[in-house]
Amino acid sequence: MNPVLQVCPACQAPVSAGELFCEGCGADLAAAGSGAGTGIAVPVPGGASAPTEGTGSGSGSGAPSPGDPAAAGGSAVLVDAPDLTAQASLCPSCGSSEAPDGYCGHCGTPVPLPRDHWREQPAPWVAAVCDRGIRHPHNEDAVAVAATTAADGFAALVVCDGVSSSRGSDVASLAAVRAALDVLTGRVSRPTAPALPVPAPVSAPGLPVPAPAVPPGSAAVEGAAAGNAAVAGGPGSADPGPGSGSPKPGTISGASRAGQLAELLVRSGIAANDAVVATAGDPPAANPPSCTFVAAVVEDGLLVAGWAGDSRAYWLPDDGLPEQVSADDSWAGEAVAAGIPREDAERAPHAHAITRWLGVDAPDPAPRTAARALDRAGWVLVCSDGLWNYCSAAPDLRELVADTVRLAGPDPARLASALVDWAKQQGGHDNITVALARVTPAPAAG
Amino acid sequence: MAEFSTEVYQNEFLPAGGTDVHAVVSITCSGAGEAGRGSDGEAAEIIVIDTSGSMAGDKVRAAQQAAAAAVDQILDGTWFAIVVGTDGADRLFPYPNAVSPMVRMESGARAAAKQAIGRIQAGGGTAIGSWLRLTKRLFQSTPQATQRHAILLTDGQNQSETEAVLAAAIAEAKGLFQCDCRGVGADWNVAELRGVATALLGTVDLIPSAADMPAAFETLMRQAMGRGVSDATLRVWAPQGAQVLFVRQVAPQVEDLTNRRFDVNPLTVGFPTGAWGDESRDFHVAVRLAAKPIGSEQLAARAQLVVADQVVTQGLVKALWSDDDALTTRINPAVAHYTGQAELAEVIQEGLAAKASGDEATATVKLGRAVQLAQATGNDEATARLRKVVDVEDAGAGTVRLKRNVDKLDEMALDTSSTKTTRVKR
Repeated sequence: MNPVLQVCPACQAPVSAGELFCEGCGADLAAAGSGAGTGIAVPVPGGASAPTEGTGSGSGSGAPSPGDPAAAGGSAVLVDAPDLTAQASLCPSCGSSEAPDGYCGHCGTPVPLPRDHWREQPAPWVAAVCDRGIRHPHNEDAVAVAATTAADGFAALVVCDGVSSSRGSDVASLAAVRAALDVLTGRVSRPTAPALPVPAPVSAPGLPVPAPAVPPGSAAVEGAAAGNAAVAGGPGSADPGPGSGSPKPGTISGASRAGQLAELLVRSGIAANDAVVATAGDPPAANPPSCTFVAAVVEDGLLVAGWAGDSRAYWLPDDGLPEQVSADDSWAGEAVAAGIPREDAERAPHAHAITRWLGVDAPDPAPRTAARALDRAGWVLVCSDGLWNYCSAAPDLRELVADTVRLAGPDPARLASALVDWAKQQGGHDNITVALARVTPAPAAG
Repeated sequence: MAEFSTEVYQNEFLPAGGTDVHAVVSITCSGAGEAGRGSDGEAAEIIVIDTSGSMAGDKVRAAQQAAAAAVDQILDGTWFAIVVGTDGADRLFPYPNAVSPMVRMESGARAAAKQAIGRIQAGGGTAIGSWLRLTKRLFQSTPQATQRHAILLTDGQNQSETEAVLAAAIAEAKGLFQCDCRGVGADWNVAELRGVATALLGTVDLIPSAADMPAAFETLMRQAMGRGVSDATLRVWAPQGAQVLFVRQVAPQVEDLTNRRFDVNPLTVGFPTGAWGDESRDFHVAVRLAAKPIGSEQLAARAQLVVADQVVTQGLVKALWSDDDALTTRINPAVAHYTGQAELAEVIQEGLAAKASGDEATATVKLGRAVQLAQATGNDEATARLRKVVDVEDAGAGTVRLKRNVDKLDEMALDTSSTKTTRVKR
């Protein structure tokens, strides 16, 4: 059985990983076999399962599920990438098979194309929803997430927002998130000698460099080299780098770990850029595809984000200071950094003009990075402007998330869906992507 | 290759129990090319000139210049003919003894046609139905020309045949060719000619004086030659159980399409829109749905343009039921604007009809409302034309007095231009 289903195959209602029966119609999910989503386990070093294929292949093509992720002691990094090339399913309202444009050809009920709306939930504490919204004819946002089953383990969340003035940005953004996730889940070359000019250790100007108190070394770090070969093969697979074979467990400080994660994010961004460039054709079309990029990695009480453009990563602790961890590469973002009040900057006519992006014509695709210590319970939220356009400031967003939790419950998949629905109710002017990781307080050091 | 695009302007949010969805669907064509040069058939043009007795003098000389100016605009290779009309109709060119009822334009034919035009003389009555019948026969004799367009000029009313005869001739011509109609001077009947133009997917307009005729004809023919897309149909799909309340063209002029409606399939209705050049046309689509629960979404309509059985562009009209008054009470500016413009056209025509029949009370109310709407929708041209027919006391309140001794031409100009809309400021 697949550990991760996206929707109930019988009634299309969303279902969560690990549920045996659909809450909507009672269908036996275990018997139903393959859902829209395909869970693929990627072992972290030392994990018991033996993967056969790289991650994020885009279709889960032929990769058998390794079975219960618990068998890997909760340390296997799972992805839940659905096949988005599939045709639309039957109309949930009238059963018609005609849905030429995301709506039933008979009764007009929304029958989203897989690319127009999907959900990923690789682990109970991590989920994402990507949706076309209302006004845009296509979904040019994309999302890819991965996580260990254990909530105190590892998670990676990647969101790209395709620039709709370029053709093929939907293809490009999807290629980008999956290439980036390949690098992030591979984690193949950490620790590594810096093969790229990485701003050390944390580069976001004006943001504090954290020195989180984390236990030095971990199972994941110790086994880094062993996992290397096992996960190679994805389009964005990381170059192990010269130093990858000789980790030094027990010698890595929190700050240097943040630096290493930052470097990993930079490489994932560059892999994403390569993937976008590859979709542009050779020679590139007149108006080549491009997209924003934001990725967040959560591990051992540390959050590191990397970005290019105006898609965002937030840290929303249940109590304490909520923050936007990324800093928009946009006219408005630069205006805010220069001291113009946020509301004024974001209301300006060209507020959304982005100053950095991924693509053939990208001025500088390497993400900027920033890190935060996750010393308390809260949400890591990564999203496109389809959400934050309606709720930008971190305190407001925390309040929105808290209100939505009261209505939809704390399951991240339901919460992400509810936040997307909320953005649609605000007008849904843009594509909407919400990726969430529920952070629980890190265990005491030792 | 012609390229089409569609934009939809609407407020998709409906309140609890809400059923009616209104949208403005704006369809734009670019790269249309020239008439008859595409893969979908050749083009044909017929110029129809009124040569009744009333045309004698300046008007017939101006009509000769106008016809010659139009002939100059007809592209080489286009099939063409010239018809002169009185209480019957005659083929002026090709000459009545010619073998072929229509000829292809080339330099020799152009020169010969102008010679024929020079021999036009005025005399006789006016029977527009007979002119349309001959025009139809000529087009039908040239089946390879599938894009068919005529320009009809008259200066008088249809006195030499009954209304029923004209109506029958219009019905026979419907769907076989398009016809733009122009009236010169103040003695023709706007409603009568509008009936011809509307049925034959054309426009009607006033040419105030004979001297303006050549320029008007040149423009008309140049526009016709710029319509490289020979025939397009607007299709409106609505879901099972829904009702298409109306489909109305609202720009560049108001045109109620209801009478053109035909069934494509049980869920789809079609409306012929004729030939397209590089232009935008806006359509107001109104659909009535069964109300759905708050939070539901439904596609209310697909508006598609179809050329040669292919959907070339599509816009989606949506419905989302919400309990947020801030969303559901919003009226889309384009819908509001064109609703006002359509009512403006209606009240101008009704007001002038009431005035003509001596019902001054109704005329005052209708034209007062027109002044109010013209101001509210920023239609300065309509405001200026209205002010020649009424004295405005309070534009905001719509209180007016009918002017005495109104120039008939001013009234006719107000009537013919009543359907011309200003575009919404976006």
